[in-house]
Amino acid sequence: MSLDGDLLSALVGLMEEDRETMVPTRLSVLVYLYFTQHATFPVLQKKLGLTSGNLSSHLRKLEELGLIRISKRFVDLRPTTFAVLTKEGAERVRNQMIRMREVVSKVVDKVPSSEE
Amino acid sequence: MNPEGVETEDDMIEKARQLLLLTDIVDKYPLVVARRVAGLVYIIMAGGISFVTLIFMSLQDILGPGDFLINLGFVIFSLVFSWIVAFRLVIPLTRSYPKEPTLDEGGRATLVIWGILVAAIVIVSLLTLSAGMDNLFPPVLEFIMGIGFLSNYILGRRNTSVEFYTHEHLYFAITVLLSIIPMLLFPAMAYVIIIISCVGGIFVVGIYMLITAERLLLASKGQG
Repeated sequence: MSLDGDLLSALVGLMEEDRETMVPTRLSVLVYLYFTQHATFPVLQKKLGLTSGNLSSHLRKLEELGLIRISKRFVDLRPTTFAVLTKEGAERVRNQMIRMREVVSKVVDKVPSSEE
Repeated sequence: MNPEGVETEDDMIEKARQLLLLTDIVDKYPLVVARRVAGLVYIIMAGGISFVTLIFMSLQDILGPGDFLINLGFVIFSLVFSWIVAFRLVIPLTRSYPKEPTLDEGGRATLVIWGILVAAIVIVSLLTLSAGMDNLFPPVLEFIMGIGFLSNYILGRRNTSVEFYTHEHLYFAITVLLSIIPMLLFPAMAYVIIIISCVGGIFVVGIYMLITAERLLLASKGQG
């Protein structure tokens, strides 16, 4: 199989291991929050290029899983939704990334030997 | 394989490497936050010491040397109170991130060493000041501080995969230890030298740690 196929099957395998967070949109929300710790709904929407309905549904799911906390606060007299990464969320992102590194490393490391 | 296929393959390898880089950055990021917080802790410590020294000296001038213990008690209480408030604001920043087990062990060893050193400072101050050997206290204090910063550097290097405490701690420890020489030569200037080398040094190291925290991520490059 080509690298393309190997990488794809490795990543699909990873997604099957964890169907809740290894969804690209949810993972990108979690990774973004991992670096910023918290973000407002409009910022997340803009940075990740998502529609409000799509982002809402993913945020709700992540909150149900206990990976983020959602709160509403007034900013400049406007109600604003904040998403905050929980400790469990940060741990999940890090563990998933370490797992992803293992899987992708295996595929990348195979490349020179297969080319030879 | 045709040239187009090779190009796609190279493109995929590049994307895979970028993915590996992202995973490394996510892995190392808690250390960046920890280094930033360590820098803030240093600044708070040096700021607190500078501020209470100023307040203490002003109180001594206003109220007179007769109220030495009251003045000392007041500034120590203020210092402890302000540190508790400041640390309660700063420390939670690290709690959201998963802890590195190795950093935890290193952190514990550092705390134990600093605990011993602080106890040594208190004992030395009581012994030297009560025995009337005031001139001996500043160089011994400086020596203890130098050993403390040297231990930070050594433990920081031993316990993490990346250099959490980089060379700035070594240079700082050397500066503090070398400042003992002018202290012995000019005992009248001893406390001024302590303020410049220790408090000034803690400020500089704190600011340096804060602004260079993201350099830890450079260690991720080329991994995977």
